[in-house]
Amino acid sequence: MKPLPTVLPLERPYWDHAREHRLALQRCSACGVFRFPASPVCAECSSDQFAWVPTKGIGTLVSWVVFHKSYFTAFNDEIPYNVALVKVDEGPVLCTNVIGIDNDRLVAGMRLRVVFEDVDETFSIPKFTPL
Amino acid sequence: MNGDLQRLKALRDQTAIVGVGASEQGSFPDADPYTLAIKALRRALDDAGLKKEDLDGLIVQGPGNVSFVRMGEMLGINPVAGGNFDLGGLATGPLIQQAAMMLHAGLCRTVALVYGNASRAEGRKFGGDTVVTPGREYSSAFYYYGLTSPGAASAFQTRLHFETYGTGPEQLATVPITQRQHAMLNPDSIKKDPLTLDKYMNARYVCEPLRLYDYCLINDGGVALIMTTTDRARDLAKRPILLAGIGRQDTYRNSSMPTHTLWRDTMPRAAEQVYAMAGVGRDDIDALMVYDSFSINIWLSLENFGFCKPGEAGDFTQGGRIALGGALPINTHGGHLSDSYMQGWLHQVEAVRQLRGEAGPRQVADARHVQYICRGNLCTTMIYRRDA
Repeated sequence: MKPLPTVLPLERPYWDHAREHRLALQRCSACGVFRFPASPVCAECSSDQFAWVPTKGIGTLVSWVVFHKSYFTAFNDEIPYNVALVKVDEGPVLCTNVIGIDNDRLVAGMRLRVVFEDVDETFSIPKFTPL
Repeated sequence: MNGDLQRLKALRDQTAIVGVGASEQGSFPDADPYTLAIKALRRALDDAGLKKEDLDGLIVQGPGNVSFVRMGEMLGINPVAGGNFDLGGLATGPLIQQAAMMLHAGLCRTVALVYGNASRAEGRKFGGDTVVTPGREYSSAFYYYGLTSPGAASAFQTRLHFETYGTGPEQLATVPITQRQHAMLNPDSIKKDPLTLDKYMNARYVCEPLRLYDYCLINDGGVALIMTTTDRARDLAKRPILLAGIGRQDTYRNSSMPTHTLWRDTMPRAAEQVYAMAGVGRDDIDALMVYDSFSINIWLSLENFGFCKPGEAGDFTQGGRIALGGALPINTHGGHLSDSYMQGWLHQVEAVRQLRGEAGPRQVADARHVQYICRGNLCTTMIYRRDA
């Protein structure tokens, strides 16, 4: 079993939305800037007013790595696997796996869309796949 | 925004490193960080010609839970200034800067900085934890993706560099190969077998695009420095090595994802401050000591400190430029990649030895200024110079 997220109170809505297959991020109600990970205040304008807003779930591959060493036993069979940084069109950068494509075909700038992996009755985990 | 340069310039050359010491470095299954640190401190005191009773300031660090309080008890020291910072391995620069401020402000007269690292003996993995530490970093969702380890963060940056500038592993290999050559001239270093381009390229990936030799060692050891004010330093055994300039610039905005920038907006500010404070420029630097947890740190430090332009470090480091005998020798002791992983502390020791002319076969001729650079996200830098 892969290590599941520990849900901190601030980011509970992120996982609640993900369970419904929506990629939602905090959006500052004052200046409109999206942010991730969760924070009680906007790093741009310091406002503490925000809402969790669904994104379009589309983004661009910024950078990625491929693990050849297994640090978690649950990944032993997946070596080598990628971990990617995806900048969603709303602005924030998310950590994820890109699925549905060979690791050696990944290129910076490629367009990706979110897909959800239903892990158990609690968690659906956002991953990305070529658009 | 930089610090207050007017006030910082008053600190220029006012404090000095007067003693350096290190324990044996390597793998010691029964090691503990206190024993290693205290052995190093004894050697640093001997180097300075000082006794334990001369110390009234104490700074303690290590990657484990090395206690300032216990260290004081073991050493039998009742300090009037000091402490520990929970800043991880990058704390070396901040702690030395803290020591300088303590001395200059008169909080104490002579401070020992002691570092103990028993990572190998303790089986420290630097990756694979599953316990979330929200006070330190946002990481709860990372593990499901299989993301872990400091090396992965540097691997993302390496990929970004390769993709953005068309650089590649054959160029990056020059960093570990050169540092291995340096380590072979250092009797204290751990890795002394030659490293070739073939051996580098054929080594396994750990976190692609980083290969085995792009990674620092994990080993046991201790390091200690003794610092005092420059006026006191001039009465001691050896030529004082003055702290001419300091700089620091952290990067925390949008930082808890693995780095998706190359710190272009932040690291240059630390450079700006350190050169302005020290009153010297890049051309005055005779050797660089660069915090090298991973080889890519060298490239980012060179580019962001203005030794070359962004994207050019791959070319800049070729042709022997960063090797002993080149224009800008880097990590002349072998660094974390080949000497020992003492989280920047042996980089300070090497700076002192180079400036004293004690580096033997790896001596940089007539070294007058040596600079330490630690990359973001907690970028610090110091310029040391030998006393006239």
